[in-house]
Parts: sequence; C-alpha cells; structure tokens
Amino acid sequence: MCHRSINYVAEMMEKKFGIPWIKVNFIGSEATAKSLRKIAQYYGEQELIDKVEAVIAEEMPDVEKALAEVRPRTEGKRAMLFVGGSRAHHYQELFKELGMTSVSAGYEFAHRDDYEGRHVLPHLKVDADSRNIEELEVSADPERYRPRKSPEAMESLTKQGVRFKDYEGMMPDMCEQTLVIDDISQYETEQLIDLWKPDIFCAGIKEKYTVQKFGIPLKQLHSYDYGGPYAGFKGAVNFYKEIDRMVNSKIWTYLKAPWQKDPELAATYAWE
Amino acid sequence: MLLRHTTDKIATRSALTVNPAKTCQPIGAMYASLGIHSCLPHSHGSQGCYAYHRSTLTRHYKEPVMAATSSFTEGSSVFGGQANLVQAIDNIFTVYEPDVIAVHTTCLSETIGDDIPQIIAKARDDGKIPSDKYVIHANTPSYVGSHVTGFANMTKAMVDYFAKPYGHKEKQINIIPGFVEPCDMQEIKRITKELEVRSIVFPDTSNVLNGPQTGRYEMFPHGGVSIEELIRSGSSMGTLALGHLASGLAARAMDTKCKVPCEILDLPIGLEETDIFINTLRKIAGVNVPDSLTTERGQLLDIITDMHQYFYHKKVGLVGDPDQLISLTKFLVSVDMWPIHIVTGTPGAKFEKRIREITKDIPHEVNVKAAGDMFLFHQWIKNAPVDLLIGNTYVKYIARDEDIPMVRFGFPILDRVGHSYFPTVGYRGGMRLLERILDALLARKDRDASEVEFELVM
Repeated sequence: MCHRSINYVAEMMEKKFGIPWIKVNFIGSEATAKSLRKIAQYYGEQELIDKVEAVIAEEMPDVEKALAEVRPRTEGKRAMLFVGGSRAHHYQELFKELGMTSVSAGYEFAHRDDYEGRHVLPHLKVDADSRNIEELEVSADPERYRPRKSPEAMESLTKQGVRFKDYEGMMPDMCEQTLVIDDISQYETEQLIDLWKPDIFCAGIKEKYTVQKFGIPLKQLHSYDYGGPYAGFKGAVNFYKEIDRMVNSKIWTYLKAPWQKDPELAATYAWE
Repeated sequence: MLLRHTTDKIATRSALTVNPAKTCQPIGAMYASLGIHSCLPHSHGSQGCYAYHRSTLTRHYKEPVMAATSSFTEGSSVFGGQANLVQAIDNIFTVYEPDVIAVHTTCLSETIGDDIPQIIAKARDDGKIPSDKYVIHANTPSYVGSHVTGFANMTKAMVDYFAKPYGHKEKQINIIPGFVEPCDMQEIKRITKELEVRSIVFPDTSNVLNGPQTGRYEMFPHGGVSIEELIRSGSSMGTLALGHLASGLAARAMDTKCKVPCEILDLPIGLEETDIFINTLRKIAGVNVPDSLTTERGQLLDIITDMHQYFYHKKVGLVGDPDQLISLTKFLVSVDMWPIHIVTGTPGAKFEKRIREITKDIPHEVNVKAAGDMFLFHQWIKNAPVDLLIGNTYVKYIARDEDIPMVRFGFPILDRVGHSYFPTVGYRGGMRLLERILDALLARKDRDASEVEFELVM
C-alpha cells in the first residue's frame, strides 16, 4: 500500500461513507502492539481489548528473546534509509529496537506532511507541481453515507487520546543532528557515506551494489532481498536476525588484500 | 533407498570400514608420476591392481592413462617380482621409450618384501636401462595411509632421485602444488607467472590429463615437469609446498638433501588461503602483486558480499582428502557457512585437530573424523541434517537417499566433467566453487518453493 494513496483514500472514505480513519503501523514490535491497542480502543469492546492484550502477551516473549540475543551486537550501530512509501520512517522503529541510530533518512519524493506531519497541510501553497494530478472531489454518498461513530463518541475517543486523520511525519521521530534528505542523489549518497560511515544502508536494487562497493551492506526495503516478512511481531524477529547477519558478518573485513595492508617489500629473495 | 540399511544409531566400530572415503596409495603415486614429462608409471604388483588404478584415473580424467605392470602371477608372489620388473624395464625402454619409469609398489610386493632399489640396480647392471634414461621408485603399500600418501611418496621420489644441489642458488622457487587437478596446477603456474616469479612446479599434470582432442594420439603428451627442471630444483632459492600431507614430505626431503629451505602452506582454496599463497610468494621473491590479481581477488569478494545471504549459516557435510578439506572448511567458515560433518578416509591425528580449530566458533556440534568412512558420515547426517553435501561422486548415494543438494568436489569424480578444466584453487577457483555451491542451493529453492512462494529471484 502506498503511504500517500492511503491518506487520500482514507480521507475520501470518510467523506463519502462516514468511516473515520486512524494511522496505524505494523513495522516494529512496539509499533505493532501500539497499533493493535489503538484499533481495540477505537472499537471499545472489552472482548477485543482483552484479545489484543492476550495476543501481545503471547507474541512479545519471542520478540524479547530475539532482541536479547541480537541487540548486544547491534547496539550503537548506524543506519540510513532512503526508500519511499513510509518505510524510511517506519523501519526506523525496528532499528531503534535494535539500539541502532537512523542517522539519515528520506523518501524518493515525499510531500511536506510526510516529513513534518499533517498539521502543515493547511499552510501548503498550491503550485504548478502539486497541481499535476487531477484533484478528485468527493462528497457524502446520498444512500450509503453512514457515520460509524456519533460526534459525541468521536469527541470522547479524541479525549482518550485517539488521534483521527493524523500523522506526525518522520521528523519528530528522528534524533537531533540527523539528516532528512528528499530524493537523494548519487553525489549526496557518496557524501553521506563518507561523512557518517553507516553500518547499514537501506534502499533498493539500483542502489544496492553501488553502496556495497563502498564496503557497506545494503538491505533492500522494496524486495527485502527476497527475505522477510518484516511486519508484525514475527516479522520484527526476522528483521533483527537479518540485520544482525548484515552488520556483523566478517565478510566485510576482507576488503583489503594483505599486500594492500602491508605493502613493504624487501625486493630480494627472502631466502637469499 | 539404496542405503536404507544405514541407521541413525551409531555403534562403535574399530575393525570395519563401510564405504571408505579414500583409495589406494598407488593411485596417487600413478597420478604424481604422470606429472613428469615422458614418464611411464609402473605398478609393481599383479595386473588387477594396475587395471583398477588406471580405470579410476581414466574415469576421473576421461583421458588416456598409460601405465605398465609387473604382472605378478602365483610364481612371483612366492619368489618375488625381481625377474618380472627387470624384464618389464627392458620391454618398456625397448618398445615405448619413455624418459623415466616411475615404479610404485603394491600391497602384494610390499608384503613379499621386494627391494626395488636393488632390482633397479640389477636392471642397470644388466644393461636394461639406457644411459640417458631413469628409473625411480616409491614404496606405496596400501595398508598405510591413502592415495594422498602415495602421491606424497612419489613426489618425494622426484626429489630423492633427481634434485641436485649445485652449490649456488638460482633465482627460482620450487612449487609443489599438491594432489590437485591438472587445471589447478595450471592456475598455480599462471598466478606465479603473473607475479613474475620464476618457478619449477612438480609434479605438473597440466597438459597431460586435461589434454585437447586433436585427432592424433601421443603416448607422452607435452605437459609435465622435465627431468632437467627436476634436477635444477635442487638449486632453487626455496620451496613452496601446498598441502601439508601431499607436498610436505617432498619439501622437507628437498631441504634435507639440497639445503633448499621450504615453506609449507595449506592449499590455496578460498580467499584467505589464496591471499596467504600470493602474499608468501610476494614476500619470498620480493615482487609486487599486479593489479590483475588484486582485481580477481575483488571479484571473488564481490560474489561473497553479493550472495552472502544464501551462504549464511547453511550447514554443510564434507567428504574428501585432508589438504582439500582443511582449506575448504576454512573457506566455507569464512563466508559464514557451517561445515558440521567432515570426514576423510586418510588417517592422521593432526587433521581432526586442525578442523576443530577452524570450526571452533560454529555454534553447533561439529563431527570430524580422519580414517572415517561414508557410512559414519551418513549416520551423522541422519542425526543432524545438512543443507548441502560437498564430496566426490560416491557421496551421491547419500545425497539421493537424504534428498540433499550436492556439489562434486575432490577425487574421484567419475560421472561429471569440468573438474580437470576449471580450477578450484586461486581466486578464480574460489569463484567457481561459490558459483557451484549457489547453483546447488538455489536450484533446490526453485524446486521446493510452492507456487505462492515461487519468484523470479528467490
């Protein structure tokens, strides 16, 4: 699902049919638990709330066990993520769980709200670029429009902390001194690698071997390098193990040949 | 299920070998002899031994393997084979005219106690050996060691019979390539040449057992180390021996006899071992490594980094010869594979110790045995399955019964082609090994994936 389309689609569903929307994310074990709780809270049914808690209680021990094993080896390492569709944001959750810092991130081409949050939407200036896609006007369906929650119920949920049609963007989740770069270029990539010396770089197949030629492993976050899944609890465990493999393998220590490390030569036969 | 009687219950066996992971000393000796130019190997024993050894080598190389035999009968078994060997030497030099006859013994002649140097001396006294021709020998009883021991013994015989110290040193290095394929010897020579190091490589079966189809048969093909080179090897600066078991003996004999110092390395299979081989040559000869070799190294490393996810933590079972297995195990461990069952039929306590050392960081029980057999190997697999088997053709029975992908590597490979043409030593050899390992693993993924999981790239 495209991170941008879902916002538009959700917005239209609400206008046309009266279905409210909340933002959820299933990348990262904590994020998964949080999203499940949010959904249960929205419905407010005790049975569902209990079920969600039961599922989280059942899944988390495996996650914690995997983390306890992997995290000592991944703690403090640096990641960079340049991949679209919200992944550059949400995969940071997984790196955070591994104790890794996402030192730089960006989308292929995002809108300001993807980075800064939807609160900037009313202030966006419409220009020629933002007008290149036809604006779809949607109105309430005369027959099928049916608000799923009453205005009172919506207000009560909002008071309880459920944030409808909201997304805070990638930036608030990133540390000080990190860099957000939209539509990164080859030149910028090289500069960044030189500057930050990341332990892992996340992007796609076209970047994979370029970045790896610097001696830095690249994890594809489009095809997942034909691995995965990485969503949900079990997906988080898969991801921890995969990142452990990539950032801790000894193969990256072989880059220099012995004669490049120690080029001194006697220029005579040693046995002479 | 041809091996359906193999059970997972491992019983202690001290006197029985089932499906041995080795073969006879004379096979190695015969192979080494073919690495001398214009040499006819001679099997001092019954015709059955010689026929078997020639057959095995021929099936492995798909090339003519010429040799002679003392054709022991009941009579010679009782009275000794002197008369047969003297007659054979006479016939061979009269009819086939090789420059050298390389005699190796068999269990039978060893048990009788035939004294080969004495017989050779008698042949010389009787005028059966032309003045410009040579007869050399190695004792190769098969109740000691294995085909690797036979190879080592015959290689040592080359030093014993030919190497001469001239009192001065020539700017050249002896390289003993070990019990490897003709193309491996060729690759070792190519690398040495790229480094601009002058060398004498012995034995050298390249262009002997991987020869071209020309429509013209030559009993003694162009390849092989020359007698003149073998003689001059005694005045080299030093000897670089590859493979402790196959080459160590000759290298040490050279040191003792001609005061040519030696360095004994593991076979240059895989990135690290090739690094060590090239770096040692660089240091002892005082040369620079050309970019061409550094590029090849980088290409091998590129395959390792690009395909690492497919190697990572894959369990492997290995059958083979000690020198090969030590380097191969190191190579597999270096790409994060887990060789967990390793067996060789060749005896030797050092082997187990070295493999234990190489595999010490694998978080899995590792089974290793020298003087083991494939029955035990199969039992290990039943107890702890693996993702891949690497070994000679005989391993295919286990691969089939247990449905495990297999890469053919080692000796003998009777049912495939390529091993004599495409090296597994050096960086290019490493690339080929990894390519074949990946082919086996990925073909299995393609085969086993459900329709839902099946993708263009797996």
